[in-house]
Amino acid sequence: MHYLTPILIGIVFGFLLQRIQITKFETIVNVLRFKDFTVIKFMMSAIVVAMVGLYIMIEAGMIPNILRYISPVRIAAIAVGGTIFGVGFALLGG
Amino acid sequence: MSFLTKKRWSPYVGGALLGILELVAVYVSHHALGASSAFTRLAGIFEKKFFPSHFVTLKYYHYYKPYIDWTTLAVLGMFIGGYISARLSNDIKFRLIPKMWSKRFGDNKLLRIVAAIVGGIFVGFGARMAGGCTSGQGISGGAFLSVSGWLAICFFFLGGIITAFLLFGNKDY
Repeated sequence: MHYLTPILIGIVFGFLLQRIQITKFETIVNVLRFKDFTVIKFMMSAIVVAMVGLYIMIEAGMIPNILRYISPVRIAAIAVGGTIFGVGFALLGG
Repeated sequence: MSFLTKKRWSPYVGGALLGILELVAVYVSHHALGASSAFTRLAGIFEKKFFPSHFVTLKYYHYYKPYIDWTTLAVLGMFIGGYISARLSNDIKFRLIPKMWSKRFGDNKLLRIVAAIVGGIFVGFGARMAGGCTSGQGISGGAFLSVSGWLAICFFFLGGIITAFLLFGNKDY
């Protein structure tokens, strides 16, 4: 159970990524050229659903210690690292 | 059960399901979804085994201890899940050069291999520097309304948009 839960969650995650076709080079490069908004539709629906659910759970006291899920705001590292990630994102298409 | 073999699901439905998966992960495992730190753990395991004297000098591994953690197992699951999905919908193709790439840059295999490796290094390095990838900082950070998550999303797309236009321009392929 200890090892099984993350593997099962990962299986569903990978299944969804493949089924939405986000694993395809064209899907990634074309969202970055504003031609195919699959990635945005997928990411934002996920964020909206998770956001509402998480904050309901937080209100209900089901998530103690919310700060453990939030990484620190290191502006320079995020700006430089995020941009580097973006370059690779477009080159690799994944 | 035709939805199981359908090649493409609506991204809205898929996204909503991923949102629910995030809730399950946080509730059941007290872990938010993520991927890139798995590669940190694997690199740590590798360095500890093969370069132990160098390994002890690296402070980063005090925070990311080298063992197979929750996220590493989840990433393992992602490979399996992606394979199951592609298999069920008969969507497995082995292609070294993506169609769009070959239309723009031709069929030079070496060029594509180098671009993919460089891209991969940038993705890995950039994600760890930014505190996560499109899953960890993007979806999980975004859903927790974390400042660092939304900031990272902006820069992921900034770097990506500039590079994609530089590489492919505005033409339809």
